[in-house]
Amino acid sequence: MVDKRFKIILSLLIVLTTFLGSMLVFLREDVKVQGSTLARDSRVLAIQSITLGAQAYSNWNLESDLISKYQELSQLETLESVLPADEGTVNQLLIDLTSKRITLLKEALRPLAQSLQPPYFDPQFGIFDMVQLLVDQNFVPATELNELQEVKNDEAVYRGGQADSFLLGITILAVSLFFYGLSLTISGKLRLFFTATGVCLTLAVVCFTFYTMSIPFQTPSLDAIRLYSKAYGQAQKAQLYELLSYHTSVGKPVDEAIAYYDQALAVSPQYDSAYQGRGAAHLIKAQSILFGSDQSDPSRGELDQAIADLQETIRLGRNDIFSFWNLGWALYLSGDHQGSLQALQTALEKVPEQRFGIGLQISLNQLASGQIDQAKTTLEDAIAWASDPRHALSSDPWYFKSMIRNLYELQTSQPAEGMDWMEKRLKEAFVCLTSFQQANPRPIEGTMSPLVFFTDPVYDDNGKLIDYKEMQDFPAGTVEIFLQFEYGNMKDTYLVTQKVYRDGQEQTLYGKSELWSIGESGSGFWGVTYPIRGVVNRFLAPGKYTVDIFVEGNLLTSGQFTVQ
Amino acid sequence: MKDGQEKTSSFKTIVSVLIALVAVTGAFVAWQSSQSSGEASTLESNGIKAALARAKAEIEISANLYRNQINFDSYLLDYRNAEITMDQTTEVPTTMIDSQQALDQLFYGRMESINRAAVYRDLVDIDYFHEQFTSSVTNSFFDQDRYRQAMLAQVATMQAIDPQVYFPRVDFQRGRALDFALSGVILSGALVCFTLALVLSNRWKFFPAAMGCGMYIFSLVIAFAGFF
Repeated sequence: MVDKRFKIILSLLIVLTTFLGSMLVFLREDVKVQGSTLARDSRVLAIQSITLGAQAYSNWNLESDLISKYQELSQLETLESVLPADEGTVNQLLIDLTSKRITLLKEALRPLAQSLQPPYFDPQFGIFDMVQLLVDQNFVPATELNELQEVKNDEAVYRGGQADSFLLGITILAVSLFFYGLSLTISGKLRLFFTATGVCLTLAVVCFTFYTMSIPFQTPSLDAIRLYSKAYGQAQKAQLYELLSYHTSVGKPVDEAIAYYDQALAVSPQYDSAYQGRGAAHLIKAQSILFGSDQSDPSRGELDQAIADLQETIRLGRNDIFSFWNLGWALYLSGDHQGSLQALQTALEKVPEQRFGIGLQISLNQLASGQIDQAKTTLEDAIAWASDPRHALSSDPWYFKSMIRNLYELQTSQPAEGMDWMEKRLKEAFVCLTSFQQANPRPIEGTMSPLVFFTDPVYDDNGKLIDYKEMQDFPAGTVEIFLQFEYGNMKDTYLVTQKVYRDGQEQTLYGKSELWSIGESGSGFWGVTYPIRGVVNRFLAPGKYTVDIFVEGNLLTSGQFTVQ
Repeated sequence: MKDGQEKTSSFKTIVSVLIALVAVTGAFVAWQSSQSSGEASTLESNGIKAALARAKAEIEISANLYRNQINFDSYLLDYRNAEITMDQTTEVPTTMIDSQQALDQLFYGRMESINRAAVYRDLVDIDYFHEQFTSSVTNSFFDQDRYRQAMLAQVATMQAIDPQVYFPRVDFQRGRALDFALSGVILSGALVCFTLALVLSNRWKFFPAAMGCGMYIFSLVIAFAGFF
């Protein structure tokens, strides 16, 4: 009788477990369907994002072309205004008619380009904001699509995980059924043990299933994504200005970006991308204050905010290279060199291919910590990595330029022993890699005196410079600045490179590279001017300029001047 | 007593037959569910292909559109220059010494512009070029929207470029697969009820049997609904 009752209970357990199993199959199917739909939507959004990017760049090219035409007309307008002609002559009449024609053509051009219409164009001063157009047409919509795609993808991965959990449950239920089946075939206490094990496993699956279903997937709302996209666009604009060392232009877009990030986080408080973006925005702002004013204190609050946001980003699970790299830089600027080093090493572990960019930062950290020999070794390792043609991805000129700029700025705002050496080594390595595809300068015997800057040169009948006005500070509107130096032991085979930096940022427009051709020794003079002679209206932008002259990759001489 | 045993025996036979039916139906719905999932995957793949084809077409159209628009802009500027130059001939005072020289310069300038404009005009897809001969060239325009739509329509005649043709069908097939899976769950519920009916010996056995029948019918309804 007991045996029969036991078998009945077992039979019921078997059918109940089968029922549970079929429920799990259904739940698995349900989340699989959801996951597949999300993955599909994610793929379609990725495709749309690529399409939008390509279309936006086509449009950007179109706008750039129209802007070029507009600038060409403006340049001609300026030229017409300075051409000499006597009143009442045919020449004067033709100049007047051409000026009128240019004005009318500019009017005809304006409706064709968005960048020549408000809000991207200020007709009063003739200034256009192409960056804002790029932000509105490309960065913001592309970011929105990318974020939506990422959210869908994350949820698809989450549903996939749920499906896997349910599959595990089904497998365990199959084991339970096996135990029940075994219990039916044997007798004695062992069958009780098997039955109890089967029941325990079944209950465990039930609990596990409820637990799996109870974990909500947190996704930012569409409003938060839209706000994030706007913020990201403005942050990109601010970053561009900061990279170009236009520190005073950073404030407006970065403040707008932070305000949008705040709104996005108010809507979706767990939005990790918004924390990451806001952290980066505070970092850009801190950097612009620090480098713009050369003072550490005003940037302290922004740095603290940046560090807090980036740490929160990592806490929320967004522990990618950008979080750690930005955190490393923020900690460095705030003076926590040890914390910065840890963050940078974590970033490097995540993407070892970035050994150049992160290596430069680690070397800087070691310099600031007084470990000069270690810093030199780290820097040489990073440069060696960049020199390897297989690592083109991490040897982007952008890292050279931005670190050279940062070192220039840091030597005023947060100086440390060895920074001048690091700056010189990076500059030489960059020139050498560009010129001879190797990182070290070639040995030379040539010498050059420090640079002397001047304007208003006076030449004799043979074209020899006989007089000039030596200056360090040049007035606003300066078009051309000359530099003079004495040289010796120079050879005609030497490759000579001139680089010009404004506030530490390389001005490629004024750079040049050519073979030496003016003899072994003597006095030379070059110019810092627009590369094409006779062009009007090409002023040097205000700022502190540095001119470096490299011979065979050796930084042989240097000098500085200021344009008001 | 014997009558009671016969009744129990026939009850058990009926329930056993019902269990067998449930099992067969279960196998059928599992097969249909798998069929629908397979169909959904194929359709989804076609939908993604269409989305990619559309993206490729849109990128190519944008590039061509850019080329057309840039040529149109150049045409417009040169033609406008010629128009203004023509008007300016009236501004040359006839009393001025060398006025003929000025008029000649304007004439040659106009000829240069008009010939350059002709070259650019030839490079613009004329079907989308709108011009009004009675007024200034500035009233002309290149119809970007119509160009984009026409080009997309042209591509669509050669290949599928609308993923939305496929995706609703994918969702339908997936919903169907899910319906079959739900039907399977209810069938297993019916199996539990029928087993309970076999186990119970008193008159309570009819309750789970009736419930099992109800669940079986309900699962059939869900399964058949999946076909429509």
